Amino acid sequence: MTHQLLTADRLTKTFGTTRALDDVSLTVHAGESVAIMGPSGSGKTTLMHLLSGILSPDSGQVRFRSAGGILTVSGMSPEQRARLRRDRVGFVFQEGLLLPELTARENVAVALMLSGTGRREAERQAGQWLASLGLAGMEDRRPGELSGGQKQRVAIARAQVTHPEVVFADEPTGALDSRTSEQVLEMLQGSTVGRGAPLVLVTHDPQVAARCSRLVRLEDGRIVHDSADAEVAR
Amino acid sequence: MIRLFLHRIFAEPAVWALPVAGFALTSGIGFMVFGGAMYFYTVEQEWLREIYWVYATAALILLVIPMFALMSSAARLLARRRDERLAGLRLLGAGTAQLRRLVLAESGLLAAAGIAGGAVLYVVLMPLVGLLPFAGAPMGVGGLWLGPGLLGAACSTLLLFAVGSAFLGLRRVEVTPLGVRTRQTAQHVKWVRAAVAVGGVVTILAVYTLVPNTALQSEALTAVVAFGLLSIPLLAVQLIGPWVLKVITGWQLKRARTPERLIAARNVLESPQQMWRQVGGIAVAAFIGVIAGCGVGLISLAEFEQGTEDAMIFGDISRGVWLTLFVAFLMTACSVGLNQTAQILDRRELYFGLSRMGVSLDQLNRIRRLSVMRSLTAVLTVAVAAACVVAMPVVGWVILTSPATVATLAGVLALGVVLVQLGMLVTRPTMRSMTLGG
Repeated sequence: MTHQLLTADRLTKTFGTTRALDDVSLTVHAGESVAIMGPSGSGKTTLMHLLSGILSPDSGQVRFRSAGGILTVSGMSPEQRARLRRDRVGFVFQEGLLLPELTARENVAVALMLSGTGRREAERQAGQWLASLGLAGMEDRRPGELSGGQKQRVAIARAQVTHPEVVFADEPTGALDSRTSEQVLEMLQGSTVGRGAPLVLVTHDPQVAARCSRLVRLEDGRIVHDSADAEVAR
Repeated sequence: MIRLFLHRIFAEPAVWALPVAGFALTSGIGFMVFGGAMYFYTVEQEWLREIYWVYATAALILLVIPMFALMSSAARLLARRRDERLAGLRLLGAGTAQLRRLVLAESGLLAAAGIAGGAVLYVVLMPLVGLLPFAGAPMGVGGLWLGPGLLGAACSTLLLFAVGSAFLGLRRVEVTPLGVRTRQTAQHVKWVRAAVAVGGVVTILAVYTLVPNTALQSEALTAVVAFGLLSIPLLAVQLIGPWVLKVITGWQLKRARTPERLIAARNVLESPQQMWRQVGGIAVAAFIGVIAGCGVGLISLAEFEQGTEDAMIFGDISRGVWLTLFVAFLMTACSVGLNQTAQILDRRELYFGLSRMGVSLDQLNRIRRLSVMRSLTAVLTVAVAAACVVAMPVVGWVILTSPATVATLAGVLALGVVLVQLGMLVTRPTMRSMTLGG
């Protein structure tokens, strides 16, 4: 078994009177792709937000194990969590969320520049990532001039360019047709799992989940199925 | 359906509070400026009225552009909060005509509420503003009061403007069941603007040169020529301004080394016209303000005997110049605040997403501040430099002989920049709420 990168221990999160997550524990290993599935309101996005440090749990802990040691994400200040997300975590969202006024190259380079890399070097690396994802020659186009699939590939390049230790994707293919969806997913997995980092993906689509190495199913804020546990039991 | 929506509109403060506040601010300032101008047009002493109407008209012309920018910003903010409801109604099968009627009714209602608030603001502030002394005594509440007729006309004009803007705004977007789409590609600013602007200035100078001096003895013709001399360069600046802003920002983009500066420059280049609408109003005011301020400084070198008419008129002109510049800055600051709020609401999903990725609130605010303040600095630098070149002998002489005037001018400009910064500051809570909740 590869090493444990992310550990969630007995997470609970309540919004108002609604308990979004109830005593959830989960471990994510390096190099695996985890699909989190479940009906609307089951808590899958909340789980992703807690694992990535976007939100803090009401109780329980999230630990991030890296070369520098173990970090307790849930104990960090909002500023520390923001820095962790910026420097060590990659995100891909359904809507892409690219800055519309920047070119594709600049959208990717900005992620590196925010972590302190100089503009010239950042744009060089951004160009390389875009080329590796099949967008050579489109570096100077703006998001409005790209198709949905191309925009998602720019978003993948932006998520990967900082070499994050884990990548989170929230319905990354939700707005794409099935063929483009397959291509985007292949690139997302190749660029993440292919270099040994885990991919945690929230999806409604069983076909997308089927391409992941592990499936976690949530219902009413609790994990009702984890394919990793099922495998151990077998 | 319209009645149902209008009935519910004030139940949700998030929908009406900001647009109504925007319109209240805009109309409050507008009524006060209009009331101030009317004071000068109706000064009791006829000989003073003959002098002051020229200055009051000049000040009004200078304030037209910042005022228009402010009204447009308020109208833009009015349009923001309705997008989700429009998309929802389209999904339910509402037709274009129904949506148009709803938008017009809703904009009219919110603008009317804002204008009513503006009238209250105007009445509340009158005793304070009325303390300003002109023509030998404080203007007083009576001097600033427009009267029911003029106030009603001003309210109706503002209301028409709001409804007209809403109608035009709706034509620029496409309402689909999935949302309201606006154009995303960059707007092009062509050099033709510069050519048209230069052509306009050359034409007015040619006309002025060719008209025989005897013709200028006619008071009416003199007024027309004076109006042209002031307003055509003003329009020229409005035409050339976005192009100049584009050139300067393009240069800043090439030199941008930090992500904040890169995004800020791209943000301005996305639509130089839009940024110009926010800060450009200050260009002409600063240009004329520097020249007029130096002129006033020069006149002040002559020693007036206390209590004489000359001393009073000089004091009034001096106050008028600084007041006009201050009001132009105040309008620009409000315009920036309203525009930035509208932009935050437009891009709430993007800002929420960037915040989830770890971009801090400070970084997002810095990007917005850089976009506005670097544009404002560019506009002010160009305007002040142009004024110094055009009126070099006057400006040069004042620099050498009247440091107090230079200090006052620098102080008013600095105060204006601070006002615009305050306009940015008041948008921070909106930004914070967007990054927290999307």
